This record gives sequence, structure tokens and C-alpha cells, in this order.
Amino acid sequence: MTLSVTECLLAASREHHDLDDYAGELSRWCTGCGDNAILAALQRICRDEQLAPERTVFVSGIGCSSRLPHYMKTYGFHGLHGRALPVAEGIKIRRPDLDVFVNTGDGDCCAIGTAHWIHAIRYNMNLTVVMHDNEVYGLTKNQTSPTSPRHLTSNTTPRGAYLEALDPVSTTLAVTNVSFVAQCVDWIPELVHDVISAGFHHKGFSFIRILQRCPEYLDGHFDQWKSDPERILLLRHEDGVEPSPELSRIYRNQIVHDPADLRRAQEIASDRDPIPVGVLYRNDDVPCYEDTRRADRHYGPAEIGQALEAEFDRFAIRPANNNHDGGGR
Amino acid sequence: MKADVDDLARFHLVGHRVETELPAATQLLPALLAPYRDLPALRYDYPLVLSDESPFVEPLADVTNRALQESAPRGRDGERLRQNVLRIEAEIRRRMADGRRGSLGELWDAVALRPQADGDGGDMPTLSLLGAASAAAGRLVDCDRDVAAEVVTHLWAATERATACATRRRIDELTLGLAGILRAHDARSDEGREPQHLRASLGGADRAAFDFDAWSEIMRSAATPPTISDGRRRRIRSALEVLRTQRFVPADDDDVDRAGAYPFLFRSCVAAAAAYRERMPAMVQLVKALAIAELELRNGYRESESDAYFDSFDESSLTADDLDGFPSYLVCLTDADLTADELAQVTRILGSDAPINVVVEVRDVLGEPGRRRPPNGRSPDAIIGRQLGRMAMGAGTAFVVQTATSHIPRMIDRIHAGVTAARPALFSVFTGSTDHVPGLAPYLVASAAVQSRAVPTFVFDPDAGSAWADRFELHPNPDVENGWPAGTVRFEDAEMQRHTEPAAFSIVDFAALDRRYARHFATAPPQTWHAGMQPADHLVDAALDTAELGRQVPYVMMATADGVVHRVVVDRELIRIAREYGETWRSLQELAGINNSHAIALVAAERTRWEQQVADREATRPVEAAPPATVPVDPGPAKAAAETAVPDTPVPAAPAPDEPYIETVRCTTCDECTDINPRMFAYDDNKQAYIADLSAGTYREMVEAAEACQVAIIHPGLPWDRAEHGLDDLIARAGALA
Ligand SMILES: Cc1ncc(C[n+]2csc(CCOP(=O)(O)OP(=O)(O)O)c2C)c(N)n1
Ligand code: SF4
Ligand code: SF4
Repeated sequence: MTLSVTECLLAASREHHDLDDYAGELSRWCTGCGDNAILAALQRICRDEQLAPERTVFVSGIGCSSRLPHYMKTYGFHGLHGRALPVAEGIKIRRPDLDVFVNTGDGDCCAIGTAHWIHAIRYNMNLTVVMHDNEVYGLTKNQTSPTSPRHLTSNTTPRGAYLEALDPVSTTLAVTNVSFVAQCVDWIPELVHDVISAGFHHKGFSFIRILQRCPEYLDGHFDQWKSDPERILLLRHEDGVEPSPELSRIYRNQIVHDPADLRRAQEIASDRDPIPVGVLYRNDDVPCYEDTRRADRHYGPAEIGQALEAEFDRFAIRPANNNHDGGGR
Repeated sequence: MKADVDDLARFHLVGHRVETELPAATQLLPALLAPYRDLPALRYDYPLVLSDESPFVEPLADVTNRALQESAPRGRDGERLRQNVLRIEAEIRRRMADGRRGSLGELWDAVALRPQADGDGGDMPTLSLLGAASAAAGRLVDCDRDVAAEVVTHLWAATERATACATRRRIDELTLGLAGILRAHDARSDEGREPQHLRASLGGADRAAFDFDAWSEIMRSAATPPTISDGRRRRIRSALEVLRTQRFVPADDDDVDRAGAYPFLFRSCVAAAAAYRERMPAMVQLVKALAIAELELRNGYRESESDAYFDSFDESSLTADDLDGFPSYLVCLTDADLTADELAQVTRILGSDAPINVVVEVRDVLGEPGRRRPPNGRSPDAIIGRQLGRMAMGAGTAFVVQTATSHIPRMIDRIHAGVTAARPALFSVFTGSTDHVPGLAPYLVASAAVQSRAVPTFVFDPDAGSAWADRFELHPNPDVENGWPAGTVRFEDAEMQRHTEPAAFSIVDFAALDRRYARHFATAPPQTWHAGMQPADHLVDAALDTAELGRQVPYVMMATADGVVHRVVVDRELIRIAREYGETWRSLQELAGINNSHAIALVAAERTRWEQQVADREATRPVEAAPPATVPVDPGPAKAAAETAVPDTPVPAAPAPDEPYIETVRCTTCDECTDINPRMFAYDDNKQAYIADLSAGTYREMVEAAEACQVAIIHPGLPWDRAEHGLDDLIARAGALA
């Protein structure tokens, strides 16, 4: 195997990045917020993969969770509420060489952003999407979200939520072209890391839902699961994640689940107690939109200008005395 | 006078140099070949369809088979459609044998749409009816003299189109990226913030609404961002210039004429090699510009190292990967073109790493009879044609395909592999199209050359591995394990008795086709047949005792056009020549691991040793001590993994209970403990908490942190400073946590 000149020089000039090299501003999340665990896992993945900060992008919408790009020292785009995915898709289609991560909340993704979410699954672009699901709107100070459980009292539903919660994992698994779905809870850091890392390595749209504690507004909301490892169902498989012996000692409730099995994944996903964690589904054969739609050549400003002129010409009204063009078009 | 047995022996020993009564063997064909005389009536793998879609080259029969498979209904209707399609195919084949050429669509329509004389066949299907409309544009080629060059050129052009397209795209992207860097920096420079520059950057209608002076003022009040250094600007500019003016790929993928780009198709190796040399500096410049552009865009250009590296950048810096996107060269030759200069150049090319493909149409492998190989000067063409493939293999660096036109359809994927390989390649192809064999289709001549081992087909692919077993394929020769391929001749004699006789197809049969070799053959009338007559291939292979000479007369079986089989005797001279071909074939077999002499010797030596050991043991073994029969114990199948199994893996022991500790790997980075005392609690490389300094905090803080830790992974242990206040309460709280 030979290396091209570029690869040789890049390898020669490569700098090692420590975790701190990926740490941006100091986080403003509440102490005890589960977002911290997700941030730490993402920084670890960047460090483990030695991603070049200048070739990595974190895109988000609006919400507490969507502040995450500020805390990364990479490129970032803190977007509009519900619009993280279209922005990320735009980046990816134009710059498929960049590693693009998306951080979105349950409100951001499953309420205002639902249309984008569903179609992003169908596009299957190579993005790593982490959905921080605290089952409440945190930034707007305790409002009911589509994933809030029925009867949850909040500022918007003081008499309790009327509707059953939407299950983002089952929903994702039902969409055309779904290619990677995983679930985790923020309080098992090893798994948060491994599951996101598996999603990062999957080529396609990796949807990772992380149940995330919001001690500020839903203090104790996940306590029954947090304090009882038996109520966590660990999905292990060589094509998914394999927990360490230390973790297996605590979380003994495990099953072998083959992520290729969509039907089984759908069955497992609908369970809330115990909470299934691990890779539910993975299919490497779904084509990525950016590959399917890859233009066979690159268009610079000059070519784009030309194409636009040609297009405008079709609508141009020619002066009556123009005798070059006999027939109208 | 009637010919007799002695005439046969005399002819064999001294050939036509003495008078015999034996008739010549003209108008005869080797008996094994005779059934194929009317070639166009057979369904075989010519003509080929050359199309623009993968696999680019395909036998017509494959195209129609596929179309039928996909579109023919089951049952009677399907069968009728099948018959009609096969009739069209046969008619196309016949017309091509008569010299018609064109696209598949043209020839198909000419046959399918002609008025039907007999109405029995029903409608003839068109290609679009068969769902094969896309194949219509493909060009039909028959097994002609030039088919090798046509096929290789076609595959090469398809490969080159794809490469050029990818390289074009890469150059476009880099050009755009570099220009983008310059533009971004220009916009941030002082000039970029001048009012007139800002004005130019805004679309027409909105201009009036802006005060560009004020805007410029605001812009300039901000700190000047670092602008691009002069060195970097120069570097980017010069890389851009090289990318814009390069001539290796056309500026536009649709530009079939490659306006402004270098040509890569040549008629001589001398010219191709000269062009390669001449373009080398430009190639070095382009690789350098591509690398600089890529480094710039990936933020990897370090002036401290890269400058020096690129200053001394030359031909020797190029790696195979760098040359990947560059076009390869193609030279089409015939063996007659191989002058001493040209041959020397071919050899140099094949020993180099230049991606130059050479196709040689070999028109003669046997050569003039009686010409010996001169030790110096120019070899007869035939010798070159015969040896080129093996010579090229010797260099070890080139991809080599040796075949005959008849076998091209079976080796298309190998030819394609050769064309795409990033190294020199030689395609030495015997054409079968020769004046020396009158009245026989070139396909059959080529095929006979392969059958008879005159042209063994093989592939040498240095990319396939480092061992001969990986690199060398002796395929698709018939009966590859044997000396000569075996067959059976069926015929009726004068009394209408049916006979079958085993017969091999050897180089002697191939020579029998060639009219230059006619004088080595003579027909043996039936009354001269006798027990001393031996199939020629036996004598070629046998190590003959001089005493046997003259008593054994070699013959081959040949048939007339109406199927009468004759025995044709062969002179000693031809048997000698035939042995040379036999040896060449055997050495190729050895390379392919068939009857390898080293392996055979090794096996023989091992066998002797083993036999010796057995004998020694027999001699020394005490008579009564028979060993007890031991049965090996089957360890049983591996334990199947249980679905819910949690593996029983050893886990490190927890620290002693009175020592405080944190289960760091379970820490969720929530900041609770570090907020309480950032010196006692700290984050490690993975941003997970551990006890950094016990002496920096109190037991109280430890217990409070443990209480605050939502995942309960802080274990306070027992107080380390007995003097601390309120320890009893704290110890009780700590105990409640456990
Ligand atoms: C278009 C628009 N509508 C509404 C809002 C108000 N808003 C801001 S964040 C938010 C919900 C955030 O919830 P989630 O996505 O779950 O994030 P969290 O804060 O819980 O992490 C809403 C409704 C907005 N910023 N923009
Ligand atoms: S409000 Fe909730 S989600 Fe937002 S930062 Fe605080 S704890 Fe986290
Ligand atoms: S309180 Fe617990 S989870 Fe939080 S940082 Fe400290 S050790 Fe980690």
C-alpha cells in the first residue's frame, strides 16, 4: 500500500488532540444535568477518533440541549428551533468530507422539527444525530413535550398531560430507509460513549435517543430506573455494542439482540420498563442521499452563473424588433 | 506404382527430400476440427457487442440470452419468441461473416424488419420489444484481424473516461476551494472593506438603500483579522495556475475530442515512451499542485516542513497513488511492427512502472518452416509473437495477457483488469487471420492455436499477490492438466462401419492447417496402414530410441469436406519442432503448479525417507509389543452462546471499604462533586471524576458529594482525619449511602 503525497504530509504534520482540545465554552447547564454526560461522551469520541476540529461540525436547534455546539471547540451551528436537521443536511450535501453531528432535544426534534426528522430518516444522509430526551422543554422552563408521559404536570399542563407520549424510537424505526437506531440513558457513560460511537461509525443517518435527566424541572423523574439496574435491558451484539465486564456486573439484565432484525427491534423499542439500551437496528446497505445525488461534476460560480443565465433566458421577453429570433419560444 | 509401408517410413525419416508415391494432404482438415467447418451456422461467442455500459464487451449470445430470460413468457409463446430471436442472431452472424458491420440495432433491425418470405415464424421481435433497447447502440465486431486492438481500445477508453471524469471533478473541487480561500481573505482585507468593494458585492436593486461609506467605516473599525501571507497567496496562485492549465484530462467531460488535452493513444512504443518522458515534468507539477491544494484545504500545509519538501519535489517523489488519477497510455501494434528499436522499447516499458498498455496482434506463431533462430540480429516475426508473452512475464512488473482472438470473450474480465491495472500491461493476442491458412474462419484458426498449445492462454497479474500461485493463471486452456488436449474422432469407413478413435489435438494438427508446412505431411492410403503407425502426439512426447526410428511412423487424422477420414503421416522434422512447443507448454504448466518438477522431486524424496523410516522401525521393533489402540477423545462441539448469558468475566476487586473511592467509569460528568470541592474532586482524561487529593478537603465534603452524586458512585469510606467535627453524624450518613 502506498500513500499519496498529500496523505504522507498530512500524516507527518498531524497533531495529537487531547480531550481538552475539543472543549469550548464552559457549560451553562444546571449542575446534575444529563447533557453534561452526553457532552463528555462526544468529546471523548472526537478525541478517540482524533477528528480534526476544523473538519467537524456540531449542528443544533434551540433548547438547553441545543447549546451543545457552544461547548465544543469545533465548527458549530446553533440554528433555529426544529431546524437542526435541514442545516446539517445542507452542510453534508455540500461538504460530504466533514463529520457532521446533530444535537437536538425532544421538543426540537419531535415537536416543531417533526417534518424534518421524518424526512431526514428517509434521506439517510451520513449524520450522527443525538436526541437529548429529557421529556420536557427545559429552556422554556418546564413545558410539556411530545415525549412527556401522560399525566405529567408542567407549566403548560398544570392538570397533567392529556396525551400518551410519542415514542421517538418506534417512530424512527417505522420510517422508510431507516438505517441506524439506538437508545441509551445518560447515567451509563460507558454505553453513551459506545452507542454514539457505533452511530458515528455507521454510514448513514444514525439516530440515537438518550434519555436525559433534567434535575431542574423533572427532578427524580428517572430515579426508579436509575436506582434499579434490573430495570435497564441491555442489548448486546457484536454488530451493536458489547458491554465491559464491569458494566455487566451491574447491569445483568441483558439479551443478545441482532441489530439486523428490524421486527424484533420494533418489538423491543415499544417497551419502557425495563428501558432497552443499546443498538436496536442497523442496516449498512441503505444508500445515502448525498451519494445518490452526488453531482458528477463540480459547479463553480462561473458555471452556476451560466446555468442561471440560460434558465432566465427561457423567460426573457425579446424586443419586437429583434430579428435574430423569428419564432417565439 | 502403389505406395507401400516402406514409403511411409521413408517419408517420415527424410520427408519430401526423396520421391514417394504418397499423395499430398491438401484440402484436408484435422479430423477434430472438421465438424466446425461451417462456423456461422453454429451459436458461438462471436460477434461481440461493444457498448458504453458495463461490462462494455459482451458476446451477442449473452445479450440475447439475457433479453430472453427477462422478457420471454413461459410456454408456447415464449418458445416461439426464443426461436425467432435465435434465428435473428444466426442471421446476424451470417451477415457478419459476409462482411456486414454496424451497430447491433442496425443489424438487428435489418434482419427483424425485413419482409418475411415464409409466414411461419410470426413477428420478429425488435430489440425494444425484448427490453434490450439500450444494447442497440453497441457496435458489433467479429473475430477479425483487428478485434484484439478493438476490444482492448474499447475497454481502455471506457476506463479512461471514468478516470478522467473523477480527476476532472477532483481538479474542479480543488480549484474552487483554493479560489475560495483567496476570496475569503480578500473580503477581509483592507481593500475588501473599501466602499467600492462592498458596493460590488451587493446585488443591483438594493444598492441604493445602502450607505457604503458608513458600512466601510463600521467594517474598518473592527480589528483587522489576520490576512493571508504573501507566501501562501503565491503558493495558492501558482497551484491554481497549474490546475487551470493542465492538459492531462480534458476541461470538460463531454469533450470527446479532448480539445487541448494530450493524446494517449499511440501506434508505436517509441512514440508513447517519448511522450511519457516529455510530459513527466508537467505530471510532477500537477501532482505537486494537487497535493498543495489538498493540504491547503485540509489545513495541513505546514510551511516549516512542507516548503522544503515541495522545493525538492521531483519525479522520484511520485507514488503509485498519486498517478492513479492520470490517464494511461495505449499502444496498438502488430508483430510486424516490432522492429529491433520497437522491441527494445516494449521491453523497457514492460520493465518500468509507466502505465502504458501495449496490444500486439500476433499474426504468425509458427513462422516459416526450416528457419532456425538466429543468435543475433532480428528474429523472425513468428519467434517474437511466440515469446513476447513469456518475455514480458520475466520482467515481473507488467500485467500480461496472452491469448488468441477466439478466447477473448472468455477473458474479457482479465483484459479489463489489465487495462485498469496501474502498471504497464501487455496483451499479446494471436489473430488467426492469416493467408497461410486458406479457407478457414480466423476464429477456428485462433481456436486451433489455443487447442494445440501453439498459443497457450495465460494471465500474469503482479497485483494478485507475491506468489506464482496467485499471480499466474494458465486459463482457459482446454485440458490444462494434460500435455495435449484429448478428443475423440468419429467416422465411417468405406464399408460404412462406424469407428471412434481417441485423438489428441497437438501442435502437429495445427501445423497441418498451415500451407507453408504442407511438405511435412503426406496422406497414407489405407493399404499402407499398419501396426507401426502411431498417433503423432505419442511420438512427440516419447523419448525415442534410435533403434525404433523408422519402425514407428507418426500420423494425424484428417478429414475431407465430405467427412472421409484419412491418416496423414508426418515427417521427423516436424516432430522435432513439435517437441519445442511441448516443452514450452510443460514449463508453463510448471509455473501454474501442474506437474511441477521441484514438487515432484520433493514428494519423491519425502516418500523415500518415509519408506526408509518405516523399514528402520520394522527392523528394530520387538515382535510382541503391539501398541494399544488409542482412540482420540472428541472434545465435543463448542459451547453454544446462550441468549441471555452474561459472560462470567473476572472483575477487579473493589477497594477496601474504609477507603473513599469513586467508580470513575460510571461518572456522568454532572459537576456536582467538582462544584463542592474542585481540588478534592477532579476530572480525568475522559472527563470523569476521581479523587484527586484527599487532603484538599474534609470528610464532610466527601459525604455531601456522595449524597449529591445522582448515580451514587462516590463511596466516602471512613474519615481520614479523626479530629474533624461531627464525625459521628457524618459516618452515620455515609453508612446510609452504602
Ligand atoms: C420557532 C420557535 N418556537 C418556539 C420557541 C421557544 N422554544 C425554545 S426552546 C423550546 C423547547 C425546547 O425543548 P427541547 O427541544 O426538548 O430542549 P431542552 O431545552 O429540553 O433541552 C421552545 C418551545 C423558539 N425558540 N422558536
Ligand atoms: S433546565 Fe434541565 S435540561 Fe436544561 S440545563 Fe437545566 S437540567 Fe438541563
Ligand atoms: S457527582 Fe458523581 S456523577 Fe457527578 S461528577 Fe461527581 S462523581 Fe461524577
